[in-house]
Amino acid sequence: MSGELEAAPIGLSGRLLIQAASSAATWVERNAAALDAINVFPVPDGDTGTNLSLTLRAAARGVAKESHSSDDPSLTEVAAALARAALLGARGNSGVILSQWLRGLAEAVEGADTVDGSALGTALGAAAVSATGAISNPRAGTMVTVAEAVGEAVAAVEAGTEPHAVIERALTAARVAVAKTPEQMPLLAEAGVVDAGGEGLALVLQGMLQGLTGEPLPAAPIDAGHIDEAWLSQAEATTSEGRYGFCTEFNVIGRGLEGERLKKALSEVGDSIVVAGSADLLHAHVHTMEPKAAFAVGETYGQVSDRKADDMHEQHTTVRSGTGSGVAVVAVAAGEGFTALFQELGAIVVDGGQTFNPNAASLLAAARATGARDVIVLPSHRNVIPTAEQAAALSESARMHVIPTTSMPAGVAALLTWGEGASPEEAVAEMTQAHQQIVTGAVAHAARTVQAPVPLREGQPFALIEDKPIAAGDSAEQALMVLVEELRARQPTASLLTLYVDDKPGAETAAAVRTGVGAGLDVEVVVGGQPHYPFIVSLE
Amino acid sequence: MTIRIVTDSTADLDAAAVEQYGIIVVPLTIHFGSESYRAGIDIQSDEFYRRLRDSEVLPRTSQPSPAAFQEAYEGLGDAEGIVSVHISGKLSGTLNSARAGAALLESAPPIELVDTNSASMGLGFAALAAARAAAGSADLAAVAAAARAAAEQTRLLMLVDTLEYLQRGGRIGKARAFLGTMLKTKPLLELRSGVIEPLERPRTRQRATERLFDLIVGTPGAAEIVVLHGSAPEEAGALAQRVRETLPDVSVGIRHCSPVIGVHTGPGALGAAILRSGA
Repeated sequence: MSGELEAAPIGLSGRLLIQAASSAATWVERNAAALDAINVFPVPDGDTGTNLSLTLRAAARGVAKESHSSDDPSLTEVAAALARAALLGARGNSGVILSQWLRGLAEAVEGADTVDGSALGTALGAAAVSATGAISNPRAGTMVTVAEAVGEAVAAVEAGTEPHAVIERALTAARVAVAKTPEQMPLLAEAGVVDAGGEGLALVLQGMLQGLTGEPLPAAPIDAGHIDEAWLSQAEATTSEGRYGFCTEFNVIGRGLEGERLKKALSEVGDSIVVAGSADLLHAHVHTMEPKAAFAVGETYGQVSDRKADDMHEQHTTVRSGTGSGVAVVAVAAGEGFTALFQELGAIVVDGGQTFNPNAASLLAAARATGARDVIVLPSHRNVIPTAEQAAALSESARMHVIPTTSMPAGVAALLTWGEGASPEEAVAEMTQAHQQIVTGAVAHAARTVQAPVPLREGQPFALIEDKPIAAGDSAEQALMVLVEELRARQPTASLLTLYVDDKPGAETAAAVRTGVGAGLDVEVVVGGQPHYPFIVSLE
Repeated sequence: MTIRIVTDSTADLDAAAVEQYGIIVVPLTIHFGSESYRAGIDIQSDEFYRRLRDSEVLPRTSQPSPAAFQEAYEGLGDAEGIVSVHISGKLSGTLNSARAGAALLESAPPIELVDTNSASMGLGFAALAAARAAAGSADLAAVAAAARAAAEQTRLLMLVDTLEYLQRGGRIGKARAFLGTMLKTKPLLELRSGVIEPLERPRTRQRATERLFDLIVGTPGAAEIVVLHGSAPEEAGALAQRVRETLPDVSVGIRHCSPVIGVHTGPGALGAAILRSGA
């Protein structure tokens, strides 16, 4: 501020509002990209900053016209023009909310040439009411929450307070409210950002403040942070790697608590960490595989209370099934690639396969861990089917449905039909049908020399279908070619061949299949990482 | 005198129906970088999908402004009432703009807003049902009820080549569960309660089209079907033909999805809106 002798305006005039609006538009424009980068709600489409900026720019242009038409426009005229132009130019949800906010402000100052700080505070309250009315289902932790916090903070300003002091107070309240948005909306916490619309409103107030005081705006945009990359790539923290952990929350009561230290300590046991509160009470949120370890971390800081650990897999399952009871799938798999594939498709994987068959207890434990009432089991091997049937008979917590898949690709085919909203019976029927529509085979090495049904030397590669050897090969590749030919003969109308390799995707082998025995088929190569079988093949 | 119908450009209504019933269609906007086009006015589906394939930047969409709705409603000042029928509020902010636009009117006939929880011809069927009720001299409440009933009875199925566009546009909804698998799939989706839900993921386009056909003809009580496509006219034609042969008593149309829908489904989408009887 300049010297005290200069006639500092006590009231907010039309001219000052024009300055404030123009400054706000410039400031938001400068930060548009930063806001876009943190936009996750209501849809993560990265346009909040752009929308707010375009809306404000339209509003500022609208009032600029007003200022040309009159040397000293009244506050009423300017505010009305601002609101009108914003409503005309509103882009996106955030733009609509901002335009309604300005409209509330304009209506509250209607009739006045200027207003003092107290009346401005009241008007910001009216603006919040108007903004909240703009949307059908206001949610906590969004732009309207911030507008409401601002309105409350300046609801009772002493008469005679200067407008810029009120905006300053409003800005402080906005920043506090913005910082709280991740606590109010878990989606934001998981994405590691604050609400973009709320942050945008704080920027509007900051721009207005600079416009009122005449101080220059910072040249550089703010650092609003960025969406957590893990969240973006997986786009669903609750099903991400380390998947199916527990959403764990607790309070810590103590003295001189430091949120930052707790946060750091919790990062050792999990992710998606949010710690909020004060020196004597902290609230902590973390996604972890070990809730007990998280509570133990809390205990080293103070007294831990209100412990809560929700099984995210259960939540996931519930969401998938669309019902409270839920359907889950347990699949037996061997090999890193196959395990990952089954997990991607939504199954809980029990380790198993040719030489390491899981027992009934481990299948039961997996079924119980899903928390679902109906659990579909994909045994993936002939030898595991009886075990799965036994587990189903023993199960008390869940109804277990065994789909007798005899290979991992058959389980994959079954899982691909699993979608939203299917009842357990429908899911079982669809999966049963799907796994029967594919034929599978594999290439293995002979464990010992045998004469029948196909003569094999120990260690010799051979092709097998449904566990029956069909031909010996000079090499694994050659056995593969024979296998594919035989599978095609059994399934002449098939169009898609999937080649699961044990190690690297052998480009030459794949090319040989594509141009040779697999000609005319779509051929997809997947690194299954399966033990014992250089190749597993499915044809459908 | 009469009840008039306002909808938005995601409804995929054909021009004849719009004209016949005097439906006002408020356009959403497509932005290719800094260039903006009003869907169906400044850019048509054919040109849009060509650009979608060629464009390096992913286009964005934006809902109409409140002022656009205000203008549309003001233009219907003589009507006895207005029923404004729109795309799911969970997919677009269009309804919020309509609500804000309605609030701007100084004097206006009563306006009833309808969230169809749908999009494309799912929304289109609701707008048409409202228009037919209005033509039959139903009152405001009855016209709105007709739109809601049709929306309830409509099924919207969609097969996409990739989930990439839905994800990047932030509309993927529960189909998120289908993301990130090492197998190539052609996800089959359904819009339910305004949100995109995953049905199944066939591995080839051919299989997916076959499943889509099964789902269409397996929907009980189908009264009217529109096959929808995003720049896949041959497949849509063949699919519609098969559906006609299987369900000779059902009217089966074909519609090119509006650009705003196309931004989010990507090129090559194939689907169907099915209006079940009882609506």
